[in-house]
Amino acid sequence: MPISGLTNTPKAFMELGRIKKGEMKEFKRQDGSTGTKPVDLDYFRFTFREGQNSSEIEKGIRLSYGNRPTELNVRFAYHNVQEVWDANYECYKQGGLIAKAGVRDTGPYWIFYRHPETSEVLVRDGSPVGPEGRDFFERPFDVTTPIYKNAKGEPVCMEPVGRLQVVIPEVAHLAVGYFTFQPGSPRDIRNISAELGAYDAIARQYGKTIAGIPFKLIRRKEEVTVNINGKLSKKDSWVVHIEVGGEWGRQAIEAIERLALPEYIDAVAEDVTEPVEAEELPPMEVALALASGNEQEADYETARKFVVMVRGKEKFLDELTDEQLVYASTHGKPEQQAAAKVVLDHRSQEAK
Amino acid sequence: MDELTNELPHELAKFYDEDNTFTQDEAPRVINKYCCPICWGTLSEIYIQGESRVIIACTLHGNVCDIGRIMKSSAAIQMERAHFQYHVVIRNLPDLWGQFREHLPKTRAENMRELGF
Repeated sequence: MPISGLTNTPKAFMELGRIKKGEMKEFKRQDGSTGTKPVDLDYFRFTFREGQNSSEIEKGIRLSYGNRPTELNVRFAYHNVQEVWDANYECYKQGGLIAKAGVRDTGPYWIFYRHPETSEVLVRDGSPVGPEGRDFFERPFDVTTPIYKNAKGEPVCMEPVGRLQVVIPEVAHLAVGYFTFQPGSPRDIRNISAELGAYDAIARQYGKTIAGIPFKLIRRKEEVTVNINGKLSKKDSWVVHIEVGGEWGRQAIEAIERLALPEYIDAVAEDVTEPVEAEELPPMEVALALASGNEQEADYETARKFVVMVRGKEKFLDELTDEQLVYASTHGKPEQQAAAKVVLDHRSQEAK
Repeated sequence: MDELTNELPHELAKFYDEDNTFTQDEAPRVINKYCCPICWGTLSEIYIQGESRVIIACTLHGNVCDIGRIMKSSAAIQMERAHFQYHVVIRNLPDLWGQFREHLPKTRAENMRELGF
């Protein structure tokens, strides 16, 4: 027996639905039969997971965005990009995942692999399963290698799949949950990774995270280069981007512009005269000796810091042996000779 | 998709090629281990008249080869994770879900103040 609001409120962060950028459309084959093929749309399409409030959530989305939204307000429920965004290469057979791989700088690596014929799992959570799994795991591979052949004998390869977990604030009062946007285009995956990374870096500079920022998921018409039967051509495509919205966005964009431009100051320009060269101050020990009225001590403090070259190395005069000092007092430049004599006198006085 | 019956007429069989069907050996294993990715409901076998291969479908959402399928163990993990993450996300987005935060019981003084004493 349910008690509304107590027993039937799921305390879970559930997927409420999916945001799609394409749909399956029917087409007629040459033999008269019909089939379906994926078609790219110029707007976002929502699908809703059945469950509590699903009809209200659908109504809320339709009221806020209409039937063909090209711009969605989104928020992220976690502080780190890795928790809301992930992209891998995946391959499905008869609706089930059979291969999943990631790519690092060092090359591709398996995350999951199920043998297409025997259905035996060889790799799970990035680790090999059993001796066969270990053999398979160590074999080098390429993400473009076909995973299996379909009934017509056509090779089926892995394809990039991204998953972005977003919260739609307009329906947040109806349920604690998220929508998944699943782009399959490398261009969209690249855009989302780069833009999300940039906003995350800016937010962290100011001690914030992506969880507190209002974002916009948008579709923008751009001219892209496509490969049709080996020929490169240009066509219009509705590419997906992430932008920051609201006050935070305005301030972030202002901050970026301020950093990118030279600093301007309102002031009257004046000619600047050459600065007067400051009198060189004596070192601390010399200054102290002079202050105490001991000129001889002041001379010694200056002289012992005199630098001479000894066998290719720079040394202070007070680091030299007595023999080296005698040599320095009779050879070299006059100021060096004078300094060496001061240091020698000081040593002889100390010896007495 | 409308609710499916357990047998598909032979005329419709041509729309289902090998890639969208399962052998009768595979079918029980798939039904045992997988569920519908949309409602997490159980899957059913649908026989095609005069064909040895069968379709596996969710009675509400259709053929698993079109809608996908998810392992029951993965669904259980997702459900557990969703419960665990609930408190994390309502704390991370207090402006959206602050009202769901569980508050500590009110003190006697707070109760008295609320009652107007």
